[in-house]
Amino acid sequence: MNYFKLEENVDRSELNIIILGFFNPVIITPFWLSTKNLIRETDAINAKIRIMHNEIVDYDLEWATIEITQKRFHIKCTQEPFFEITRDLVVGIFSLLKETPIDSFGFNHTKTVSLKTEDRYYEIGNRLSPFSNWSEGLDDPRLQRLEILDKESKQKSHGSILITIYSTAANELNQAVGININDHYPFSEKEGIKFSANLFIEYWDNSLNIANNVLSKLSNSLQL
Amino acid sequence: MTDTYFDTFPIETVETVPLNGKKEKAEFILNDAKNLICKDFVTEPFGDIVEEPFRAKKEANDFAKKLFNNFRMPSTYYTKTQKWLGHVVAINEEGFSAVLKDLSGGGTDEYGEFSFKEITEDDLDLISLGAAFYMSLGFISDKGTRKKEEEIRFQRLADYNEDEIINNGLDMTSGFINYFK
Repeated sequence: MNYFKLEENVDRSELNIIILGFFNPVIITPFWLSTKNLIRETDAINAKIRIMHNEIVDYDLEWATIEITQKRFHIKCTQEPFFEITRDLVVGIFSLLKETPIDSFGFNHTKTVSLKTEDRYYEIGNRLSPFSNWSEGLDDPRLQRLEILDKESKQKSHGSILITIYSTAANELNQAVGININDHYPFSEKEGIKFSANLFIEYWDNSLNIANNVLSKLSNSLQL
Repeated sequence: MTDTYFDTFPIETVETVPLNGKKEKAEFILNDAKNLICKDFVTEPFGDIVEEPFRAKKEANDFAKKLFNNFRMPSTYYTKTQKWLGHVVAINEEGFSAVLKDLSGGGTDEYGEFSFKEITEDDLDLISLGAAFYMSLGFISDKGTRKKEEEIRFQRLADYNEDEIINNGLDMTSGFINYFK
């Protein structure tokens, strides 16, 4: 079938890995990462530190941004060649700090899809949430933001998938939509878990498949 | 721990301009493309967490909106990236050979030869038989200018040594104390 494929028109990608638990932020400095051979020495030297405090650290490596509070670890990478390196860094950090209790973690895959034409941009909103439903109350409805939650996904061992589709017009990227796939894994609230590199990598591999499937299946359903 | 499906959704963080001489930092939940909800507003010294004061929230929101375009969409980004995972299979005086697995499209394995000159000095010590590295080829767009970019980085995995015993101990203690807070 000859239809527009979202997965083939991804203009840029972003990865966010977020882990909730109990952290000692000030341990995880660029210098520590370099000393443990988890990043290059030049990465540590060139790191831009915004805050370094017992309760929060926040800095940029040239290819990722790291923000850690006592309850939240967040690494963000906007450069696609570094996604696996970002994953390895998380695995490295928590393999060393293996006693860190973890309550949940999530992979966020954000894809900005260029739809090329104004008509297609209008139509994606219309097919996701038919504008005819709104015609009596609204004069010129448009897709702004849509969230769909798969509460207990069968595509993975446990946890939810939250898909957000939003307009990127405010970012001066007209005729494009952002699609964020939040692949969330909660663990026991009482006990949490200790980090397992094998489990994390297994979930990562599955998460990449889930993200790719979301785009290809959506393309197939929408037939733009 | 809050029982919400949004726990691991990205929260954007913006450091604001100094207000009243204080350095301030705001956390935002991205509500939609035009509206950012200010979640926490943290002023120095840390621990002084203001619960969404109207003035601070408004000013922080205004500031975030100004930053928003650059903040969400970095001026430098990669597009149409092809990625491979390589494993070193032979080393000689000039360089090394590697088997390359396509990470982008799932194509067949390829074989490549690399000169040491292609590898950054920081990674030279990591070259050994079986060592893994990532190679990517794509376009980098920098403020509207697009050019080809190749990146080779050797995989870095955690080394364990005696310091880890101390660090693990510190981390355990910290986690234990926080758990009962």
